[in-house]
Amino acid sequence: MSVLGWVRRAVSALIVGGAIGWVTYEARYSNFGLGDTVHVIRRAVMPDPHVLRIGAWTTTRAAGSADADMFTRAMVARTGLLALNQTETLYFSATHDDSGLPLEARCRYEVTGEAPSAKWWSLTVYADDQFLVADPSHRHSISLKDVTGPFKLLLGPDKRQGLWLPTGRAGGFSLLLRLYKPSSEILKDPTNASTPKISRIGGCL
Amino acid sequence: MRFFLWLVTVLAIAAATHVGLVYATPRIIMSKTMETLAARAGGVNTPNSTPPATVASRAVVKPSPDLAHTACVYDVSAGPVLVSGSPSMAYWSIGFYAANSDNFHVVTSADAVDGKVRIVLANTVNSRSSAATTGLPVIVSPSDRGIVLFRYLVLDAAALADAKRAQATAVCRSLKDGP
Repeated sequence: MSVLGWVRRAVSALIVGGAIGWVTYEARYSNFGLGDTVHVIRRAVMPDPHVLRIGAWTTTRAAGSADADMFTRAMVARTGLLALNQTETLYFSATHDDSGLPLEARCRYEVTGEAPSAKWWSLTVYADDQFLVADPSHRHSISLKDVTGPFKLLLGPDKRQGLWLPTGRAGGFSLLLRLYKPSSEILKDPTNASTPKISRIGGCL
Repeated sequence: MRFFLWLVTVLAIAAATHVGLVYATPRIIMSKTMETLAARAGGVNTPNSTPPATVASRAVVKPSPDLAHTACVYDVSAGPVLVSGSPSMAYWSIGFYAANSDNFHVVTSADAVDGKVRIVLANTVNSRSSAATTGLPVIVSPSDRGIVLFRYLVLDAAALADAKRAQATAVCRSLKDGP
C-alpha cells in the first residue's frame, strides 16, 4: 500500500473512532433528545454499577465523594455539579414515572409518599435544561416546611388546588429529592428512603 | 487483514476518546464554573453572595430555590486562604470542592466555635507555612484551585433576613500578606 493509502486509512480510523467515542459518551450522559428508546438501550447496554434504583428514583452514594470514579464524576458534573458528599446530603433523581414513561411537561402527575427521614429535605422540579421551570407562580419545590407526614403533590402545566408544582409546557422535566443529614438508616442503605411514587394522571395538553 | 487492523485501530481510538471525554468532563465544567463565579465576585479568593435561586440563576445546573449561597473560587497556589463565617439559624454548611469537582470537605454549624467557623485552606506545599500556622484548623486542598460554597436554608422572610446576616460574615481571603 502506498504512503497515501496508509494516511487515508489512519485519518479515516481517527474520524470513525473519534465519532464512536463521542457518540457512546453522549449516549451515556444524555438522550440526544430521542426520548425513551435511547434511555432504555443505554440502561441495558451501559448500566452504571454505582447507581441505586428505588422505583422511579436513582441515587449514587459516590456523588461528590473523593471515592467517586471518573464515570460518576462526569455524571454528577453534567447533572448536579457541586453536590455535597453523602455524609451531608443524599440526592435522589427521577426522570421517569413509576411505569417507566419519561416525565413530560405537558402531562399531569401525582407524587405520593411520606416526608423523608432527614434533618431537612426538599423536592424540586427542573426543566429539560437542568434549570428551574419558568412559571408565573414561581413555585419550584416543596420541603419540610410544607410537609411533615404523608403527602400528595400534583405536578402539571396548569395550576391546581393544593400542593402543586408547575412542569412547564413542553419537553421533559425531572425531579430532585435532596435529603440533608439523612437518618442513619437511610445513610446505611439509601434504599431505606421512602421515595415517593410518581403516577401519571388524566390527560396531557 | 488490513481491514481487521483498521477496525482494531478504530475501536482503540473510540475507547480512548470515550474515556478522555469522561475524564475531562468534570474538570472542564468546573473550570468554566470557576471562571463564571470568579468574574461575578471580582476575582479569586473573594466571596460573592446570592439569594435563593430563581429561573434566572444559570451559573450551576440544578440550583436550589430553597438555599441562599455564598460562593468563592479559591486559589491556594500563592498562599493559604482563610475561610470563615457565622452559621445562620436554619441549615447551614460550607462545602469545599476540588478542581475535579470532588467535595473533599464539609463543615456545618456543629463545627462552629463561639458562633463562628474559621478554617485555613492550603495546598500540600504551603500547609505548613507560617501563614497557615495560625492555630486554626488547616484543610489541605487536593488542587490549587476550587470552589468554596456556603449554603443557607431560607424557609421564609425571617430566614432570608437571617441568611443575609450570615452571608455578610462570610470571609474567603488569601493569607499570603498576613492573617
